Amino acid sequence: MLGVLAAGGAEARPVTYPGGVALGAETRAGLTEALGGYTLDPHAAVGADVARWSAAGVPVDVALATATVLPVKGNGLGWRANLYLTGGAGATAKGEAAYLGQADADVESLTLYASARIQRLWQHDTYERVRAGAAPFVAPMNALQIWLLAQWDYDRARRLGAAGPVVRFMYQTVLWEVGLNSRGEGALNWTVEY
Amino acid sequence: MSIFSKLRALVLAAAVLAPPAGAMADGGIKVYVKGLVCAYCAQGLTKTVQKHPFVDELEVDVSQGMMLLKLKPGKTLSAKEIGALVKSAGFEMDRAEYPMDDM
Repeated sequence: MLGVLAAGGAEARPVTYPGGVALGAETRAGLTEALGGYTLDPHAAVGADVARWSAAGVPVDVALATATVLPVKGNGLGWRANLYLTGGAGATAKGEAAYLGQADADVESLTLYASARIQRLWQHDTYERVRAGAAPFVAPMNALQIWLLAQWDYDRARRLGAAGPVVRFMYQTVLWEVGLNSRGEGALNWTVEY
Repeated sequence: MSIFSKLRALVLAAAVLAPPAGAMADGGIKVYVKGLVCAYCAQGLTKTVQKHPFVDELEVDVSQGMMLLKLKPGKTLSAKEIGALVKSAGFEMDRAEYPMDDM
């Protein structure tokens, strides 16, 4: 049996607002993932996750149903902090059971951002990531917001760690990120909210 | 009355008639929102608030963490009702400042 622990969305908020639909994708070395989510209330969302995990050398194609809760949420004037917990269950293309688990924590102000993620596809791969960065300016509504981030990540299946820059763009309900790490591997993530 | 006294009276009158700090001259309610840190996350707030039948239009100023709420003619929303609306979108209201003519 193949297990997976915790999942979530592309690098956006897996829980948005009640009735909100989010579609996205995350691509990095070892993972190509498409995600969809529906937010039930301000603290819970359900979704679907179709991915190819190839970090361990043998690609594993999985399809999962996911659920995300937001048990810790801090809101203040000019800042917010969140802890998201996501679990997923489904099957691989070979018919094995698959489980996913993920925890995401972030804190951000108008110009500063930090986050951490641990993501596990059970018995296949565990991925850890820490990010921190800043926005050079505060964009008004309906204007392009840019974040400049530094990222460190560690892929346990490949036993590889790397660091590198990530540039995050936000425009209206579209978020996309591009990054390049110290191994020369690129990353492209995007999310659209409806 | 000397010219100095007249000027002082004018200044005092202006101070009395002027709206208090934070009140809007154009009739909007200033709603200060906790957790409002980017235009991307504000999209969910605006979509949720705009669904309320009393809301005519709204503008968000991310840098101030503030939403300017304009209601349809003859409609009112209490601070408690606005707070509940903001909370339903996943945020928290810090305070609501009403224009003088609604106070």
